[in-house]
Amino acid sequence: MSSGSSFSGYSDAVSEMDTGGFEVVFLECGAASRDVVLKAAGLSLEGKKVFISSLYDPLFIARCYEQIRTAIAVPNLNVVLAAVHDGSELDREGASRQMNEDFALMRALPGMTVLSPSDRRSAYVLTGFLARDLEGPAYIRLSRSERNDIYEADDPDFNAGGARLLSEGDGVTICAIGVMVTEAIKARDVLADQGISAEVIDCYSIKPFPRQMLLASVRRTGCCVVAEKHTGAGGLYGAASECLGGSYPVPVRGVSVEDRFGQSGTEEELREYYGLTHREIVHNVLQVWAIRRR
Amino acid sequence: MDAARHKELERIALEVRKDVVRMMGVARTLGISKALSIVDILVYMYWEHMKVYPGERNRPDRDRLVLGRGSAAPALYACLSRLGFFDRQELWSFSRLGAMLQGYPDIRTPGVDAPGGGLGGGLGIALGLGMGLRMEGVGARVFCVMDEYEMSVGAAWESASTAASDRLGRVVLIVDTNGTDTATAIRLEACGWSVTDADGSDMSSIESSFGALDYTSSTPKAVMMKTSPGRDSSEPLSRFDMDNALSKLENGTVLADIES
Repeated sequence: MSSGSSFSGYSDAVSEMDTGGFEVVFLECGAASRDVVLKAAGLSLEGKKVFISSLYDPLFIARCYEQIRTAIAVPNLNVVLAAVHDGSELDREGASRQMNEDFALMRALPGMTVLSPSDRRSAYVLTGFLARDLEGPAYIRLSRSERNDIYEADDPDFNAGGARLLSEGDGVTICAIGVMVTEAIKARDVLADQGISAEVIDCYSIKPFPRQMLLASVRRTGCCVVAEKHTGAGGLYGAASECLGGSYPVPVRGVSVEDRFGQSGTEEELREYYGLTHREIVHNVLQVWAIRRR
Repeated sequence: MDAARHKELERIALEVRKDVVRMMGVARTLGISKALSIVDILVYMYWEHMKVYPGERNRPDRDRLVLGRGSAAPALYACLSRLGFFDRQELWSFSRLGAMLQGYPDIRTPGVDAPGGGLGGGLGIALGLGMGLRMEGVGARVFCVMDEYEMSVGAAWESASTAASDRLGRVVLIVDTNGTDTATAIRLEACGWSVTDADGSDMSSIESSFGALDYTSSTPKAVMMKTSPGRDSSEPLSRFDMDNALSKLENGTVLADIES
């Protein structure tokens, strides 16, 4: 089901996807987004797997929070909420169209799976996973902009609760999600020149959180930096800190937009302004690396 | 409906009312007028109009009921237990820790087709159920019971405005007006709904309004049910209030609320 303006091409892409033999039906639902969420609950009660997406409205999960919570999360229905704003396509629109609080909102709902793939291929595999295998509600943050491919084509190894170790090292763990994974890889290369070998984890599943992957990594490295396009509260930095604080406390810092709303600007300008860059990751790595206990 | 059946339904409604008073009295919960006002409507629907199968509760072609007004859940539970969906003993643990009967409808309860959905959210879920049934080619109907207060919530109007263009003619919205007189009927008509009204505390009036519903048309239908407004005390029922209410019911008074 889609809310907002229609988007051609998307339906073709999904039709080509391996949906395990299920018939795919598209419903165009206009701008009545709360009604879309409620209808999805009704369709799910009738045994359908429902995907809801809104191409131009990343705020729909905030507007419909009560409906998502009460009609979908509480009864644990098979509904997937897909937001499409991980890139910065809407940056010119300013704070009212920039959604940097979604991980926190969705992660707070009991039973909700929260994912954000870092490239087209992992997005494709995870969408198929959600359609075929996942029981219960899920939120997935996608991007509409072109991204560098990080994974090989036909790499099937993505699922809820998973993460991917992109490079091994013993100096620092960089845990990144979505659009920030590319920045983390750049930061790793800069750090290598400075003699710090970084482990980069694509932590595409915020919930369930890949605890074992992160804990195994920080046991090797002794410090951690988290990078996400999100506010500083309740996102990946929150999830990683909760995991580390309870099991293996090490110095951890977050690269995020911190406690600020967005504003209008180009993608590049905003990335610089809010510090969502590989330089900011490097800067934070140097700080945690300096205070780690070895 | 002949006179004997009419009398039978009124007797069932009386027993359901008594169960509602007992449940809410035992549970010490508030808001009993919200549950009492829809008893006649639910009894007529479940015993005369809807096709439900307590022995096969997930049968695909059963009619669905969505109770938008969660606070009326005790009336729904009393009906469902009397229909045989679950043991009547469950009523006495209503809204307690670990109870099957949650304060607001929960889909784990046998016979409950949809969660409450939040204020004003019942209608959208009902439309979704209607769309799902149509996709499967199942001719079952979906009934959504809301109250006038919920019809002031924006989400209800997002849903109301889409139902006619979606041609969901097998969805019926029942609005318990609870004595208020608003523009809901006019607004629904403007959104393409076919709207009738009835006296929600009179079985014959309820019967004629349901009898007039034309399920062959693709227009979504709404029935505005006038009910008497009840006032609720801010205290849970005392044992005295409860006994008093039960004896009033036995003596033929139709309670809208429990004012001693």
